[in-house]
Amino acid sequence: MTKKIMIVLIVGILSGLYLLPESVYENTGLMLDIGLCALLFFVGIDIGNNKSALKNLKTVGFKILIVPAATVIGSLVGGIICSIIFKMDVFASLAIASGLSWYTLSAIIITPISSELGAIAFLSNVFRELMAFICIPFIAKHIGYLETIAAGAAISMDTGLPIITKNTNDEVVIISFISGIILSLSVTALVPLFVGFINVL
Amino acid sequence: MGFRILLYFGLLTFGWILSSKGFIHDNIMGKISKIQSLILFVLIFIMGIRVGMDEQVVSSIGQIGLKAFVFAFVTASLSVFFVHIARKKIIKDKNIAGGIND
Repeated sequence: MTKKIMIVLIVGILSGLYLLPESVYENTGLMLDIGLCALLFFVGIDIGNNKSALKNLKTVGFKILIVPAATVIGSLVGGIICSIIFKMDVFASLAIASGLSWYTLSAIIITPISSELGAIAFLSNVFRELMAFICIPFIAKHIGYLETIAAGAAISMDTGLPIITKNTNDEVVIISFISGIILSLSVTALVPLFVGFINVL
Repeated sequence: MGFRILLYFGLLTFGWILSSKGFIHDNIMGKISKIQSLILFVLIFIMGIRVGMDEQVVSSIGQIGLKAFVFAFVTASLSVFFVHIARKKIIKDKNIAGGIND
């Protein structure tokens, strides 16, 4: 699965770089939206066909909230470590880390403070999304199903959901969707919060 | 964002209801996995096109690529690590935890 994903991804990037006309870019957003909508519909059908999924989830209950919470904590600790590695402002580093793969929003919020930080935020969150695409099959097989949600973080409710669906099970897909919503909401709160502290300094 | 979440949730629920009420034909049910794989690869291909065509990404890779890569790797790895530790202590259900549950 990982190999196929990597090949398709690389072919896509090379097509975008060298083959396709610029006008294609404008339509890719719509194509992604339509594809995602279709996929979510089929994921719903798949879940509805599995009668035990909801029953299993009920036994775990609110414990599933530990997934988005631990994902955010891990990313913030990572942000602090990166600030030490690159000797940069800790709040700037935390703002970048709080993007949680949502590259458009984090970069848009950070760029007015510093275009360089905005570019790092944009690129690091693009990389995180691509890494998640490539690593989720490996993580699901060798580490655990819930950890697949942590890899892509905010994308777990949309672009990351198809790969999580293919590599885990219906219970985890529901947890992934809920976690993705919570993580996306966290991005809207955490990035402006840390950017605010950069302003103060 | 609110509209998107509602749309995604609505489609997921719609498919769920149709399937649980038995409105989906067995022929389609048998092909669900293949359909999902096909859509998945199309989506990844389009994502790749977007990355390749994004001038901001392409132009900044040379200057800040390594720093951005380290950020992505460290934050994603630690998120996976923290979830791994948390689920081993809190979520014991093998069907949900999956993987190695030692």
